[in-house]
Amino acid sequence: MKTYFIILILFFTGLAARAQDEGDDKGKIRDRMNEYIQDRLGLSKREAEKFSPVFLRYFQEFRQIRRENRTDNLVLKQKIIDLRIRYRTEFRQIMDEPRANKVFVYEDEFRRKVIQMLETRKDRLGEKPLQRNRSLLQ
Amino acid sequence: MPNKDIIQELSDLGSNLGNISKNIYSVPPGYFDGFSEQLLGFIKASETLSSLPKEMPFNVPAGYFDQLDEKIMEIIRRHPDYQTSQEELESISPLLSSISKRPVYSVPGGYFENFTPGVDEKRTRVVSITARKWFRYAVAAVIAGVILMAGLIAFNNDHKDPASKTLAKFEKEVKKINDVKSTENLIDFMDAGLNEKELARNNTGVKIDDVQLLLKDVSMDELKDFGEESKDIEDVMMTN
Repeated sequence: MKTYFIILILFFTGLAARAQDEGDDKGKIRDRMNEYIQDRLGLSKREAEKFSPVFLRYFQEFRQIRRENRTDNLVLKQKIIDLRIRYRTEFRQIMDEPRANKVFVYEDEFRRKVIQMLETRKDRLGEKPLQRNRSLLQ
Repeated sequence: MPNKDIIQELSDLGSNLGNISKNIYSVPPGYFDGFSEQLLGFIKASETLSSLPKEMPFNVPAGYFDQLDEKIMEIIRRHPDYQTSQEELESISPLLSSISKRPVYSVPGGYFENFTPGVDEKRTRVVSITARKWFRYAVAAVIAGVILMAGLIAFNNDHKDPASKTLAKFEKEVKKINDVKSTENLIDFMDAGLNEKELARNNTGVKIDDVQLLLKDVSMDELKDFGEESKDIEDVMMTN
């Protein structure tokens, strides 16, 4: 009986550890985008320390807006523009205005590069290209 | 020598002390030679002092302290407000006074006189932990669990991202060529005209090499999700 109990504990411990790893993995791309933008903006260490938490908040809100407004292209556009205007004000308090204005340019650049990288890989491997959300094309 | 400031100050105050130049606190020469004998002779010659009794004034009659405590207690007992300790306790706390005053930690009479420490003659049995059956099973289960988890992780890694594996293998092979010295060159080389679609992308001037390196440890699932998200909003959001 004890043996079965120990095996069960080990099994669930392993599952929990893997689940934790996967949970950590989900935020990697967010952190990479953060690093990329910081690098492109040439932020100092002090600026980067202030920028990171604000950007992570922005990223989460961005995803939430996208999730909640997937079916309405115009509303999605408006809400994301509102979000960016709001966060641009915050970024201007961390860095000078020209660089604060470029945060979203580099964000889009990063997104575009990821799309290209994925499509290049898929072309080479003969996979299907990324599917657009049909509702956005309507 | 007196301080001039002090003399000036005394003079300003109208005092004659400033005019005194010699030390007034002095005695004639040889004053203290024979002073003690002179003083004793004076005391002995004095009638008042010689008439005082020579006994110590602070003394008590013989046996005074032998009965003192009993006398004090007798005076206390005669007082109208006197109570014994039992009566006082009963009046203050009836509950406490009702508790028995016998000591609770007592042993039978002569217990320690007859006490001999007992020695257990029986030898304690030594039981090896490894001899237990369940322990061996537990060790086996731990080892099996570790192997199982390692296998699962390795298996998932093998099947997680075949595209990146293939690309990594391809890059490794191509890097051996001297012309392709860095990953950047390799990506340029690979992107330069595989098909029209990729040519069109290169014309935008955006290179993907730095991002590719940055994202090398990101899982394919997360990349795909992010790619789809970015694709969805590309038409809406791209600022330039």
